[in-house]
Amino acid sequence: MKGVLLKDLYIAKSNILVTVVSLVVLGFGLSFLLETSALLVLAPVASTTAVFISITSDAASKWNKNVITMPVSRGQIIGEKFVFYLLLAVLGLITALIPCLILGAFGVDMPLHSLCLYGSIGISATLLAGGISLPCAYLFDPEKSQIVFMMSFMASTGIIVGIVLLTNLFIPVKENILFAFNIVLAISAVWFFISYRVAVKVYQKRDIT
Amino acid sequence: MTNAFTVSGLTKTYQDFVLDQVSFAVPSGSIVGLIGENGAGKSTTINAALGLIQKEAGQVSIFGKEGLDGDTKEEIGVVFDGSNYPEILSPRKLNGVMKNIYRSWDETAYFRLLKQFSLPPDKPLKQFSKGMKMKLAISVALSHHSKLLILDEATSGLDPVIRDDILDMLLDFVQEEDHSILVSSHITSDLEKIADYIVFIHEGKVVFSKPKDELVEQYGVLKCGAAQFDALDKADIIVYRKMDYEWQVLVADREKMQKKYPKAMVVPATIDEIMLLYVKGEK
Amino acid sequence: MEIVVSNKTSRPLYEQISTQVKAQIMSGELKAGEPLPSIRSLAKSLQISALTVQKAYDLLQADGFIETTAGKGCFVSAQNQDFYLEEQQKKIEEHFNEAIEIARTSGIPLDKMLNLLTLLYEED
Repeated sequence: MKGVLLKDLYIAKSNILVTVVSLVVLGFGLSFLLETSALLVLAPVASTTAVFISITSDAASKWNKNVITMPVSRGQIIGEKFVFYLLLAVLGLITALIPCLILGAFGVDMPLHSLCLYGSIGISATLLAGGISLPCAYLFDPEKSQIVFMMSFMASTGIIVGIVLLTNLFIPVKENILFAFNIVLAISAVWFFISYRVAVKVYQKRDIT
Repeated sequence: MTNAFTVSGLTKTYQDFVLDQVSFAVPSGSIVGLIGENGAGKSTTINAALGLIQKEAGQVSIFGKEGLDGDTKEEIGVVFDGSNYPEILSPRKLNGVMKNIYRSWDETAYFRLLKQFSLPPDKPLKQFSKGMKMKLAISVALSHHSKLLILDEATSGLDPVIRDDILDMLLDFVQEEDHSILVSSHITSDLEKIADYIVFIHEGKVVFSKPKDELVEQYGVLKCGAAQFDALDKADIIVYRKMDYEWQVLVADREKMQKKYPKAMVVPATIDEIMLLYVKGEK
Repeated sequence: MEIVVSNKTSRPLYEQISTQVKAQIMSGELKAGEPLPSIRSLAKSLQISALTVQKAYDLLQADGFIETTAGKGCFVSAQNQDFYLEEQQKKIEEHFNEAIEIARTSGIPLDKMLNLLTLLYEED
């Protein structure tokens, strides 16, 4: 899997750099309008476009065919995309934290509570969206993947709202806001994992031409 | 002689095409040419054998082992037509990738091959010509101690000079007796030169699997008129084709046929002609 | 050693190879004990199939012109060539005798026979 990951990093290198720089710039820029920490919601998801670039690149060359003739299992092929997605999301999160921490060091109000909350929401949304868009991009037409990705992001925000409302029925969310969103995070992680297992299973029997 | 690669009874059904009980072998140390028209089933056979598509029936055995596991794949080099690798990568970056995929990746051999074929290591593949891309793909296939090379239409659209270079690469590869090659190609003149055996697939079935020398040195085309055609011994006719002014008959032993039918013209047959007669002729 | 072959002539490739090697051995260009190129490297140099070269070498070995040592390769053999030459000459004598019979009975003169022989020998 390491080799395949390296390949994707090479392919998406410029995209990743652009994303990182944009996030940092945006982070500083946003500080004049609203809380910089709000960036943590969008940053993870925005960083994952590189995966879709790599999926499209794979489809354009004969890589998908070739990799099956290499000593890499089909499970690892799909798994690598999910791992790559996660790595990018985490990278996005960390990058968005940089302006927050710097501004915080300069005395701007940066409550840990907001950072955790927004980070949690951001990662949850990313995991939920990824769980939908990754299998779709891989198993269906890679060109439509961009649209699917955007739609799944919107869907995931809806799902998050839904889960929070559901949680509210059992625990008053307003008092335990962090706890509620951590439940959302856990559910998203499970969802992401299930999506990975399903994608692997479907890919095992696929005809690749 | 052991076989490097064997398929038996390979079957796959599509809506308008059936791969039907395809069976043939690649003996160790040999070069086997797979020929057939477009859509005859050459690529489908290779895809099914390599596990790219699900087969409905049949066995594949490589290096004596059933099926395809990671260890076997370490020793197989496959080259497809067109762009084999992401075009944004350079050969050097590709080396970094392959190093982490193949246990037996030989970086020294790879760069030596790049040098030998004048492939610039730091240029992205999208700036390579078709021929250079193909040489690169073969270089990769030759850089992880492969024992079996499978080329699927790898030389289509390449000029004769590059094809000659590639033929030399292939001949070099089989200098070792446990190295074997399966080449699927339209360019029968290349196969006529270097193949040891020819397997002809037509409409999803194997029509014949024969030593190339037999086809080139013994097979022939008997040309005659209608009257003489009717007088021919039916057992001598493999396939025949009625042309505008003559009848063309494929025969298995041209010397024998010339002696038996001295009035007819019996000429050597190229592999292309043999193929055409099978495809356009009748039994 | 020099080998010139063509797949465009009607003579089988393996025959072309074995004939040329034989001729070079007979003429002394290839000396006894001299190694021949390996089957695969000759196939590569001529850009032909290894099976073809194998056939040629098998033929040469069967006629006693070369010997194969496992692990070492193929070498020009020392004996048997003169014997082979003698055998071939005997065969030619027999064929000549038959032809001479036919010529005598049909009244074809010697010089015509010589012309015919020259013509046939030079054609290939």
